Amino acid sequence: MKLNVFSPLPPTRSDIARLTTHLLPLLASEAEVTVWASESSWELALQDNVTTRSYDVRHPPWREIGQADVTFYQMGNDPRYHHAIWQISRQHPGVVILHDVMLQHFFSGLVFHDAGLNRREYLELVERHHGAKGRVAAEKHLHGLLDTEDLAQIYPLTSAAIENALAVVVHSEAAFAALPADTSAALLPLCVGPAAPRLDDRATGLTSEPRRLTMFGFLGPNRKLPTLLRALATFDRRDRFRLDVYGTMDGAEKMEQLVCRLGLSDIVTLHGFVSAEVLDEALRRTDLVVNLRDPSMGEASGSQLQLWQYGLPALVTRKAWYATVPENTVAFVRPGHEIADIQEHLAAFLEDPEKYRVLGRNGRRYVSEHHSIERYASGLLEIAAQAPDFRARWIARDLARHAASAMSDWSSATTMNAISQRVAEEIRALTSRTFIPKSSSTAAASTGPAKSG
Amino acid sequence: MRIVIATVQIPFVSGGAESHAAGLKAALIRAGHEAEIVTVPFNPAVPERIPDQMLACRLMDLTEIHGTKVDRLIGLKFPAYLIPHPNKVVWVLHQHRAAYDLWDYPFEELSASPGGVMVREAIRRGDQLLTEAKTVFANSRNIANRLGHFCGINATPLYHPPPNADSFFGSNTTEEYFFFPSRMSASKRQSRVLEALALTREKVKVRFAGVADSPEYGRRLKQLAAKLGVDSRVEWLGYLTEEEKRESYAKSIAVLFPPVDEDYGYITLEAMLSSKAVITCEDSGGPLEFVSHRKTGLVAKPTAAKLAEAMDELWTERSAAAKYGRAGRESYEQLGLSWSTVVERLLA
Repeated sequence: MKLNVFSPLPPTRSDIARLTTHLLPLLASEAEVTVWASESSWELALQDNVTTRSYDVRHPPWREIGQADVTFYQMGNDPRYHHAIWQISRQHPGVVILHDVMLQHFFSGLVFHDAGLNRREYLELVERHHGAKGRVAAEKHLHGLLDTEDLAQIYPLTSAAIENALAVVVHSEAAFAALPADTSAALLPLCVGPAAPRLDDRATGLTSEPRRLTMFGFLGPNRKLPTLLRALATFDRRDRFRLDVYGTMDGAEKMEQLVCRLGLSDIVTLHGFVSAEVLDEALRRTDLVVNLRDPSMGEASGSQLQLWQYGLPALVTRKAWYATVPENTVAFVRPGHEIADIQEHLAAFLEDPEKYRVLGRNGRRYVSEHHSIERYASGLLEIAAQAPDFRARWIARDLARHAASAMSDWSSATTMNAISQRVAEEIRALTSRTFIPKSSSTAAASTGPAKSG
Repeated sequence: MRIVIATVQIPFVSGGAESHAAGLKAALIRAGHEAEIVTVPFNPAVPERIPDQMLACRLMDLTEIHGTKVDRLIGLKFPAYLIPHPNKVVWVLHQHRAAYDLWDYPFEELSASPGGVMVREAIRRGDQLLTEAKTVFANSRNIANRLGHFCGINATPLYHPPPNADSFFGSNTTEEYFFFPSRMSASKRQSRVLEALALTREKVKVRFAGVADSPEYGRRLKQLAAKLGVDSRVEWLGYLTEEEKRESYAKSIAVLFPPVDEDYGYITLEAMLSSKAVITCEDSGGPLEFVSHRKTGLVAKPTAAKLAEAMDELWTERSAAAKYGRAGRESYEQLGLSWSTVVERLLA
């Protein structure tokens, strides 16, 4: 089997790039993999069965891309890393792996970064997927009158990100439920890197104070860092904690000012983006992670899986995917009550740290049982094997759309019904049978998972 | 019987398929049947719309015309052979080869289009409906093999004579040229012959007859000839009448026909009828069912250098060329190709 994988690659500061790096050897053990990068340079170790190719999104090498049995697209919310991937996925149907289902950050980001959509195109896109009301809201957003997060909750543009997809992979029940009804979709629990870190040398520091709090990942407004800072600022035993923040954020300078203004300069350090090695060291020294999301962009959290691998307890918002994780693996914070709940947890942690360490150990066990990268990779390979069936469904839908469009111009409702029946029968006849030549590398066809019949 | 012959027409493109349908119609009428050619327009230039054209064919109903039953439908070409009929027989002239054996060929547009993979899947699935037919015949062994390999469909080769087979003639008086009569397209490999011409030791001359699939392709061939410095040894005859074509065959030293995996190829049979040796290639498909190396022609490796060697050989060994030509004519007679046999098989 031949696979294409379109993904950001290191040194891109993207968790998805890291995930792809970990997945490649596993995919390549069963398939011939071509990784397509829109960047002009990348850092990827040479591997058997893996070829890396760059492409110009204005002139994609379709003939080479078309040699694969199936194409995977890693789709996330950062317009810098995913705009080329989205452009290709719209033209060459493949399996879109959605790392977020609320994609306003991506689409409006294309406008703000001048990266592939102008204002008119963006508004037309929103209107096509969410109607006139969506367009009005998007116009407000462009004028700075509506936050991306709030817009994304109502008009997520999920369907725009998958509009030509053969199939979609999501990582949570909530994301699965959010997909349009006729989507061929698969739910795969998100995974983290293959090797869980050794923790023997971590435990020694855990009894000493000050306690180390950590926040890491891409720090968008929904990560609630200002709220955490305010909770710390008004917590009477704040000096018994240190907070380290790792990751990129918009408006880092303003955040530094807020730290100063709240009098937290001695206990809070904003590190910015750091290497995997630095983050690894930091997590080894951490006592408690704050990993809030509100609003959630609807998907499973890679950073949560990562911190579980370190056996770390975390404060999470009881919302979306986080609300579905086992109660004995995290400490919950109620949406709207963040400051009070954070302070309550900090106090409880000081009283009984072991209670929280148990959560981390449970989380470590949970992630190894449910989110292994081996299981994830074999899930992707199973989906790849079902590509012929996904293609048949895609073709049938496409033919039905074209037929409906042609008929709607001249057919009345009554005749439409009679003709539609016949058209449906013939579309079924045209797409239901297949034959796989012996010499083909295409996997045998089988029935794939469909979100709905 | 009342018989519909279902085929397609690509506007402004004409070749062997059109002659084939006309020959079949004439043969059916000669056998006392009522026959009509139903031609569906087909435009492969926009690959993404090909599945729509398949669906359009599936929605046609030709079981009855003006209250009179159509007794048989004979499907010839994709996607017209998908038109449903309870008494359908398919005689596959060719499938949409870009979705099969030509997928990897650099001149095919389908694999170069972003949605090409989807169209290929649609065509391959749609072609499974060929098994609705009472019998599936193929225009040649080559096509039958492809149907078996790519579609898992058993097809019986059914050969037929080229149009006006009785009118071809040989001539002992030859002029100084090889004849290459064919529609001009990348798959027929006129360009490879030009490259070979540039490598021949002898001052070989070639007369090309036929119209280019697109004016642009015709221009490119002429530019290539100039670039290779062989334009003075090339003549572009363009469209020839049937009489002119037969005369060109008769006066040639030998016939060149080195296409890529040709389905059948009237040119081979017409050359044999004209007592001419045929130079073809090991990957030329249909012609290989009729040309025996060093008996009725030369079968070269498909490189310009090897093709040049074969051209040099027959250019200098005129007696061998004549001998192969005579053997070709004898071989044709032994094939026993006739329209009456074809009609009998199709209506059985």
